[in-house]
Amino acid sequence: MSDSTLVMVGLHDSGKSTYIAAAFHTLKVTSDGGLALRELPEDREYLLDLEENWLNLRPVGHSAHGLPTRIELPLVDAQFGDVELTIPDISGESFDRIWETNEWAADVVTLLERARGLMVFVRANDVEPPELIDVGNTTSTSESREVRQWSPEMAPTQTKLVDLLEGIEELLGGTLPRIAVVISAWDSVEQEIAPDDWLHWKVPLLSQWLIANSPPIEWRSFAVSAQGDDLDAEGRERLMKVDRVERTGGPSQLLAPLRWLLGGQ
Amino acid sequence: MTDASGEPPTAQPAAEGPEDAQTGSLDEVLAATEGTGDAVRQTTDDDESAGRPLALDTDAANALAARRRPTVVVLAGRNESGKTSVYAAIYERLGRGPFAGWLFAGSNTLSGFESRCHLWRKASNAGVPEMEHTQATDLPWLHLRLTDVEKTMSARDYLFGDFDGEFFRELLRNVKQPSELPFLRRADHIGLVLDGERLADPGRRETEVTELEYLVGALSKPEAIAGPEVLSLVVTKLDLIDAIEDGTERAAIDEALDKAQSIVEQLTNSPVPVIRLAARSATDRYPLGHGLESLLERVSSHPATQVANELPPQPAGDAFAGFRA
Repeated sequence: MSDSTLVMVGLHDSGKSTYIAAAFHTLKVTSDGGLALRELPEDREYLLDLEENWLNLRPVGHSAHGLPTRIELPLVDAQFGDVELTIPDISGESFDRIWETNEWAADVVTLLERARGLMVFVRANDVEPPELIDVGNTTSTSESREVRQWSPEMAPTQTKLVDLLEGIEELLGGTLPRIAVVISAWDSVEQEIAPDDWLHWKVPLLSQWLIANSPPIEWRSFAVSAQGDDLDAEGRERLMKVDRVERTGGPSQLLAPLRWLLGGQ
Repeated sequence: MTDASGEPPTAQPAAEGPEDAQTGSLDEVLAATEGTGDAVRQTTDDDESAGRPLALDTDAANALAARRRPTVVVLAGRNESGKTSVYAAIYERLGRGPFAGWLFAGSNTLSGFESRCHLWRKASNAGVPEMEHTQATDLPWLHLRLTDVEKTMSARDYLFGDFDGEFFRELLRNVKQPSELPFLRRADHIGLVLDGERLADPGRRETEVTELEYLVGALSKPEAIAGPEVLSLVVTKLDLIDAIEDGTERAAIDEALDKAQSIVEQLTNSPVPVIRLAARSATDRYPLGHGLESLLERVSSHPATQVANELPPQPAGDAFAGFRA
């Protein structure tokens, strides 16, 4: 039996809690993804709340307070046997705050020091780009507009994520564990595109950083659709016609990041 | 994303390559400013917000210099000559993908770059791209780490000195001595900035070249810079020069540029590169960071050269207390 802590890193509303809800339910009902729940965890109130919302096609929400919510899952892996997986749900607001203040809460640091792997969440339909002011045809000036002063929260998604990862690397003495970059809400991506190429297209600063880091980082990107569709009326109607587990693309796809971080190939 | 292509990019090769293991004992040489070291990441148990430094102070720059061997680049020019825009445009281009054969490999001053790019972005609600004037009290050092796209070389660290143009004005007027600006002695590259806007203006053109002559004179003093080979001419706001259609005026600008180049080459006694930039043009004829490939080629093909140099004289007293964050 091995103990493994994985830390989910992501900004506000990046899909971390939805992923946990979908993964918990999937692990509970099937072992098709190579991983399964051995037994229900003792401390499961938070998980059951997430699962209930997820099953009822409601927004899953996330940890309501700043402290990481402890989640422990007793798993059995087809290859590695029993695994005690600890995967705390740290609110996206906590990571937003780290970028804005450059301060790391001690409990988050402790979790990172224990981490066997990181799951870095980027939500495919919620990327803030560094969009430039159009030039050439504009006749407007800033004098007639209310210019917003810079503040850290205005930074693009890619900058915040790179800074978080650089901060973690520094906290861990210049090393990083395996990183699974989870592109959530993949169902919103209309193009036929590989996850790596999507990263390079939409968050190129992060993509370059992952590729260029020295010492090299062991990382991989994963496309995940934990909810399966939008939760508007049309999306809910489509989702209600699909099996709860299959709507994520199936256990293998959903659980691929977990399996890889636990040592899979 | 404004500059993002509609087509997916080519996947990059897997990460591998030697670690940059170079170190340097450069703690004192960057001492142009008094430091607080507050760029170091912090951990905390409470809710107090320390805020983020927007660049490195000397302590943090020295700490970085001790770990790695950064190439120090300083653009020397008057206020609003476009120095900050050059640094910001390098970062802004990298934010859109690999640039000029380089990959972004990290930065200790992301917030500093972000704040400098802010008024170029729609998020600012500015109508036209602008750049805030660098103040003497601003922390000066911006950091960037780059790796070549093929990953055939070690990653390289760069420290860009984003200094208030007032220091250079005082230098050329002999109000301040080079010894009071020891970062000049430490710089691996000094770009002498000629402001294209002023070159394009017949009323200010001659002054621009004359001030360059005075600046070169100041840098000719003993121990002012590491050597003439660190110098280059950087023409900013090229778009404003190219906008001049009158043939006579264009000839006068070319003449002024030739004169400027001649002034620098008298010091260096060798050809001096002239790098022409339109870092962030207000027209769409020039892409973001136009010409920066040449600058990056210059600073990367002649990386850090100052390891063996003796330290410059330190300024008497606390001449840079104003830099404290």
